[in-house]
Amino acid sequence: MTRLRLLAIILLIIIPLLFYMGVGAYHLFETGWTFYVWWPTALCFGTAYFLGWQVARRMKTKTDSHPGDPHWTDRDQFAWGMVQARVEKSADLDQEALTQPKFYYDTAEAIAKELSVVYQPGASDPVGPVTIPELLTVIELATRELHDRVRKYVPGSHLMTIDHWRKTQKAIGWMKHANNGYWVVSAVLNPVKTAARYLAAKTTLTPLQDRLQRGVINWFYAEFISDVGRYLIELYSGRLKVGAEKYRELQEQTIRADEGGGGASPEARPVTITVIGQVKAGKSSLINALLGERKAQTDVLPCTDTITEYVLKSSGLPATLHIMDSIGYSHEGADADQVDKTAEVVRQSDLVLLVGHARNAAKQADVNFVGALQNWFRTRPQYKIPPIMAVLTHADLLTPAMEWQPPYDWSAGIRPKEKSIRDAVGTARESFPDAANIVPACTAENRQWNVTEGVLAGVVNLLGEARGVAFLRCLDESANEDRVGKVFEQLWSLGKTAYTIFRERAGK
Amino acid sequence: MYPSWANLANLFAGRDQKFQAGIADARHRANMPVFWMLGRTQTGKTSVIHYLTGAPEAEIGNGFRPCTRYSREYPFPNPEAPLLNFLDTRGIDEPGYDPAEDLAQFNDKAHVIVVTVKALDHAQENLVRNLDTIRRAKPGRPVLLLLTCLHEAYPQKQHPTPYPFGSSLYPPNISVDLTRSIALQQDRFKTLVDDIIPIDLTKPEEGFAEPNYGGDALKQSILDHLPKAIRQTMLTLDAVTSEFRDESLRRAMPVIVSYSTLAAGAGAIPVPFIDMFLLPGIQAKMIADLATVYGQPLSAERFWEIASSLGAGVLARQAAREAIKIIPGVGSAAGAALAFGMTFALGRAFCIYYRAVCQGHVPDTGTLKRIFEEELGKASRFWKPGG
Ligand SMILES: Nc1nc2c(ncn2[C@@H]2O[C@H](COP(=O)(O)OP(=O)(O)OP(=O)(O)O)[C@@H](O)[C@H]2O)c(=O)[nH]1
Ligand SMILES: [Mg+2]
Repeated sequence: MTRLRLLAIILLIIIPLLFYMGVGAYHLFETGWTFYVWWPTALCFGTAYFLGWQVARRMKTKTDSHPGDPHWTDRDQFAWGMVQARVEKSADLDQEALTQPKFYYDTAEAIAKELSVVYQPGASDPVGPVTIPELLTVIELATRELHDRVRKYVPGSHLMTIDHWRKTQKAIGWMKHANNGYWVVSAVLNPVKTAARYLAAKTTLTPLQDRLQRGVINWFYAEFISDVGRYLIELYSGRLKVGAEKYRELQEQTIRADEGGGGASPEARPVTITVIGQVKAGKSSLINALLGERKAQTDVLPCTDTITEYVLKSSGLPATLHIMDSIGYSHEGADADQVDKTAEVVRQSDLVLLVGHARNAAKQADVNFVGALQNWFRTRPQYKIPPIMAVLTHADLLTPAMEWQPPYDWSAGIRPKEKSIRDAVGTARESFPDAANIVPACTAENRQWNVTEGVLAGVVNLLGEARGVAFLRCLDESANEDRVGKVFEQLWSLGKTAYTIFRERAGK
Repeated sequence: MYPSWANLANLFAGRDQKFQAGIADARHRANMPVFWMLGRTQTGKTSVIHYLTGAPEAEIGNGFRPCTRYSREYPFPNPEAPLLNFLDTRGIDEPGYDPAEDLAQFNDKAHVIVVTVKALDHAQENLVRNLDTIRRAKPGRPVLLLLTCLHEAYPQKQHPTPYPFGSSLYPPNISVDLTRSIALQQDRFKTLVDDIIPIDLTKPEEGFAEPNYGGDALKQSILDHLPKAIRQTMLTLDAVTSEFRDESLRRAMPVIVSYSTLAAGAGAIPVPFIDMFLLPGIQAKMIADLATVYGQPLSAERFWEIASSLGAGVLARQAAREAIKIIPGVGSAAGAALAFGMTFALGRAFCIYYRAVCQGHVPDTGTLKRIFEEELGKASRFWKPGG
């Protein structure tokens, strides 16, 4: 009943408008103006088509080029490749199926099966060992993301029902019929002109409708696959053990901490950077140069014999940096214990600055140190190795040694010093093919060069990756903490029950 | 009448085993000093070799030949008639380095060990450990520690002059950083080395007023520590190269001295007439090498033409030399001196010949003969048999 009334109201409003349209069109036709009016109309439609095409493309690229999360390990990236392959294939799927909820459920299951093979290769039932809370966490996280994104990108989505969703398909079909009816009527009135207009409209309007429709539904489906895939990856790599709440909290503190831009947000975790290198490479000098004040002790003889932490906080930096000065290796005075300790600190850090003397090609000890670090992480696929940035100090001593007139354009310049610096960086790159970045610098007191614009800028560039490393480590730590806590909790309640039973018995 | 060019070339190409055996024996008798260089890369080993030999650094780089898994050698001026030999143990800083293999190869050969360490570089863990093993294998062999790259202690400043470390490692007016660093190095290596020489051998493009800072002290220390028997080669090389300023000559003289020394080695073989057979081969190879230095190829005919212009004298003396060997007591030492002298004079005569050719005129035989006789007289200045 209400429906009929609503229809009546709408018709009462629309009919006069339709009437004006009809009369107006006829009038235009009578006066022969149609030809002139058609051009602005075509222009409007053309612009609309262009804009629609752009929106659709943006939606498409948003899902296609997702590079994966910064904290992901190589294994996760591989699994992500499988998810992406699915996203790519989604364009060829039957549009009708995409509106069926069951289809989404089946897809999620298929992805889960596919990915589980990567993480539990030998298992006969790879999905079996996943705990129920973990599975719920995947769903919670994925739907929340999807929810956020739908609200953000699909206009009017807050009013949309499943019914609407299903009807989108049919509504568009109906619109096509109505459209065709209109053309038939016009054709009777003025066959020649209508034919011309029909052709023009066909090339502008119809594709736009198709595109928008396909775009939204495909986009939704692609996002769905990505989100489910992403959290399945998190699940299989054991990162959801902490539960959705904790996961999101850590994510806020680490990965997303500097997404807002500006200074470091107060609840963000600081980024830990460890400075390593052979004895007298200039580690402490580099730290002083970064801090802008003389805090770490430096000397011409081996002097740093403990690991010390320095804090670099600045409004221009998106994160607070905790910089660890370590004990130089390759020194007969440093005992194995100290070297082990340095290695341990490096494993716990988010970013590593490998400091080397630009004039010493004897990088063997550094290559060994990095090699040992890589091996350690290779056997622990749940962690990610911190990005390593190499800093070549003592650039001032490169040929010609007598000259020091910074600034130097080392990447492209033609002065002899610039060329030597470039060569030194090239040699270092051969020794450390895995280094994320190699930066030359002069860290001597009063003669600093390329510390802020080179080293610090390089560090900021790597913050995203560093935060990914931190996120993985924090997750693992909290999962382990929780596991112990939960066992205690269970033991405690067991004890309490036993005690109650005992008292009850004793009371009797 | 004379052996053909090809025949001579064949001798050196190793086709004639008898000749090769003779040359090996001659080489053995030539008392060539062998330096065993130890040090991390980029500590200035090549600069030291460059300074001691005068050979261009690129040539040194190309002249190295691998000899063990972790080592290579550079025979100077060439592998056929080396005057000096440098063993370079590059692997000293590699993780799996075990000196056993190099010791097996070099322990008997090496006369002196030269350790290069950057004065300010204190990352010496591996070097100290391996040097200790090598030192124990032959405690009597001299070990010289060169503290290099002194300028790193005073960046962008010239070296203090005059060279202050002549008599003490701790002269006044030296940067405190450098003094402290030297003290630590001295302490680190105190039981491992026999002498410590701070040096700074730099390429001209580095911009130092004195590119061979401490070079004289280095040479002196080497002479002080080389066994007497082989000190002579160093002295000879030094004498001939410092005497001549001309660039081509400075390159040519080591070649002449090296083949002359090899000839002396052949002359010292106490079997009469064996060197009659070796000497033409050695001399022909010397002439061919000299021709390369001057960039003037020489045809076989031309060679024999010139050789025979000097010939009568040469052959007569060679015959006399063989006769000397038969006289007990005088024997091979005199034979060696003569073989040295004649090869030396022949080489010098050819240098002058090439020089003239480069300047566009060919000297007549009379002039060449006169030069040959003169140089033969001078040769004795450069040849003092070891002992
Ligand atoms: N010329 C030059 N000297 C430098 C440079 N960086 C550091 N130095 C000097 O090198 C020496 C060693 O610097 P440190 O910062 O103490 O080295 P380190 O790596 O911390 O040394 P340890 O902690 O003892 O292993 C000091 O005397 C510095 O003044 C540079 O870029 N150029
Ligand atoms: Mg330090």
